[in-house]
Amino acid sequence: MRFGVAASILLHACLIGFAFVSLPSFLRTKIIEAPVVPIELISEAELAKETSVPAAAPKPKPEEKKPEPEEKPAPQPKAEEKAPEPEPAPLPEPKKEEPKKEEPKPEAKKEEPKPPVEKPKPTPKPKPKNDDLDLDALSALVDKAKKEAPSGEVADAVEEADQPRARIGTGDRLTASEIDKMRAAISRCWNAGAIIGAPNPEKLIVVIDIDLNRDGSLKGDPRVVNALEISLSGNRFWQVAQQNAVRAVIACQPYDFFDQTRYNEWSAFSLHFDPSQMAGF
Amino acid sequence: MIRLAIATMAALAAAIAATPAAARVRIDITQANVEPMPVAAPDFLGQDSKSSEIGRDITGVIMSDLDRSGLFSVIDQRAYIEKLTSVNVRPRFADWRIINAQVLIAGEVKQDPDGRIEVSTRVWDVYSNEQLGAVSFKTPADNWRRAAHKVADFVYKSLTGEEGYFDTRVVFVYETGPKEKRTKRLMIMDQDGANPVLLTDGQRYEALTPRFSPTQQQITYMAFFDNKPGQVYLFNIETGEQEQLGTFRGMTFAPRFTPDGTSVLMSMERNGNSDVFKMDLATRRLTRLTDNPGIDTSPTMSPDGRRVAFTSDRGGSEQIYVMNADGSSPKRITFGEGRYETPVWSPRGDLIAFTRLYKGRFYIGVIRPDGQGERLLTESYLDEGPTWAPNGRVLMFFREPSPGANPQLWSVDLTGRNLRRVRTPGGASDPAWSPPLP
Repeated sequence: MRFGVAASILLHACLIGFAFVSLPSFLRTKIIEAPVVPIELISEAELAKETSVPAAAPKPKPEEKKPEPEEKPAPQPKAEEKAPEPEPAPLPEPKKEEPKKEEPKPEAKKEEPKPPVEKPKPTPKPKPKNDDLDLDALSALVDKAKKEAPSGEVADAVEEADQPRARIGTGDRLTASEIDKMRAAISRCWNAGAIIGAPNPEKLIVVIDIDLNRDGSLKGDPRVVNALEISLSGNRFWQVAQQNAVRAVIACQPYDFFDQTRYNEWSAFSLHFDPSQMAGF
Repeated sequence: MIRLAIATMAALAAAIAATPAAARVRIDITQANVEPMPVAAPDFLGQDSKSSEIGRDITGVIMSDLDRSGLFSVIDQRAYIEKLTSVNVRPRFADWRIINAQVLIAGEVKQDPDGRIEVSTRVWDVYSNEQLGAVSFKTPADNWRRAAHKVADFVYKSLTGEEGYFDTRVVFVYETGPKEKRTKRLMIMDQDGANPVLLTDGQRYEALTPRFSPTQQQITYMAFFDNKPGQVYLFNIETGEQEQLGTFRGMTFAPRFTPDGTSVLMSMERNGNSDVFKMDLATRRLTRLTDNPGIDTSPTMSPDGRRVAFTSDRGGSEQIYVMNADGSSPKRITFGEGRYETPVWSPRGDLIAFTRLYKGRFYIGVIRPDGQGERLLTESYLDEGPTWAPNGRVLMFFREPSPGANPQLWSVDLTGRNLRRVRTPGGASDPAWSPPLP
């Protein structure tokens, strides 16, 4: 009997003790773990070297310095392996790419350099269009009725408003509407969604010189005038802006809406891509 | 007159300098097409049926990531002309130009003997015929989804210059039940809505305002335990460990990590007044940053750690102020009508996002830290609680489209474009974006 009582007390004590110890943990919020499984990044260089892509080699990849144990028979310091890969590589592109800029463009090569004989020409055109600001800016100064606007626009607007004084030049300039056509064409192909939200868009101006063949196609590769500045800046957004602008110029060709008889006037352009006015900041 | 003469001379000089026959015509291009950039993404190649299937799945996730960013549109695969056979072979660019692709994403999946997969990708510029980048990842096969996000991040960075934000997660308050008796639990999911997991059970307490550490898989939040005043807690997501950040008589609320993750800024209420404090997580030392009879709350620190933005009604209505990190020189930066709340400093540092309440409508907006350039990005019956993607380019927030409706998560680009709903299992509020996963 006494044993039964003692045992009962002991058991109850155990039960209460157990409850003290365990209940809080039952009550505690149940937490579900959300572990992160690691992902291992294999260096870009490793993959780049495995490739049989001939064009990839000349690119001065920053990772190039990484020593790569596999696949390469010779230690080859750096001098650009010209694809000694084992791969049969269908290689659809007939062109062999050289260092960087040299003519990786296989197509659009048919036009002569630029011996155009037919020169200024009397032109019935009433609009002279002097290169950029110069005279137009002057006229803007004189009739100060005009309000301020971005420089390109001012020049065009003044031109139109100023017909009587328009015969100063030789008539060998593009008209405002021709320039507008060109501007609209490139704007349409310039896909700048990514750049518009970039910080400091006013610093992302890209200047590209292009030459055109008579059929409106590009003569040679577009030349990025401030390419050195862009690459030295280390600004990735600027580099992307450059890629986007070059892509736009190539994608938009042919620019075949110009007057064939005035090829001289539209054979060369300097395109200034300025994303700052679209940013809305 | 003299000016005119000088200008004429300058013009003549310029004309002489630039006379050579083929003068370049300068054109300023200031308008662009803001349509999403068309990209082609054929299914990632596999060595066998299993890896091919993973390749298809990975491509699907990449496509959906890129599409959701609003910056890219993935061209329908049925339009593709070239059938890629290897990621290491140069594509026929003309075939991709014909279908208007500007960029081609080629990839393959290899199965390793150790059960892991290797996902390799090349990004090609179809117009300049150049490779924009190449990358490869290794991970356990069932972790393919994250590998896909990593690839999407790589593509995004190659094409925008910005870090991607696809391999991230979002913690939010998961709301269930009728409006007057809501259960509020913390839930975590991938940024695209996949893998939702409950973090708290909502039985004993309600968790509110979760905020992610910018450096670790850790959150801080405020909760009401057993009808006691609300307090701020820390929660390690990976270990499940939770702890209260100090015990105070008054309520502590509106916590947010400092950018280095070593401290938490929060508001503390004492005798009906609330001020902003900073708690060092290592020493648990509390430093007062504001001391004002007005209500100061919602502190957020600039990424360089030098300044703190917060909300205060010291001027009569709630407005956003910016002060030095030690609490000195507070300066009001918002002056619009209505109220400004919950400032959140962009990880990029250039903008502060906020909620604005004006004439019964809510707006999410951004403003520069100097108070210039305020822009409202969204508007609805109730838009609140913005949180930045780690790259500072996208904002997520929650919206109650109409009175009493279940709250939903939405995201918007900082340009105000690409407003879209984020998929969640049920009612969702107070999102907090994680840093990129390791």
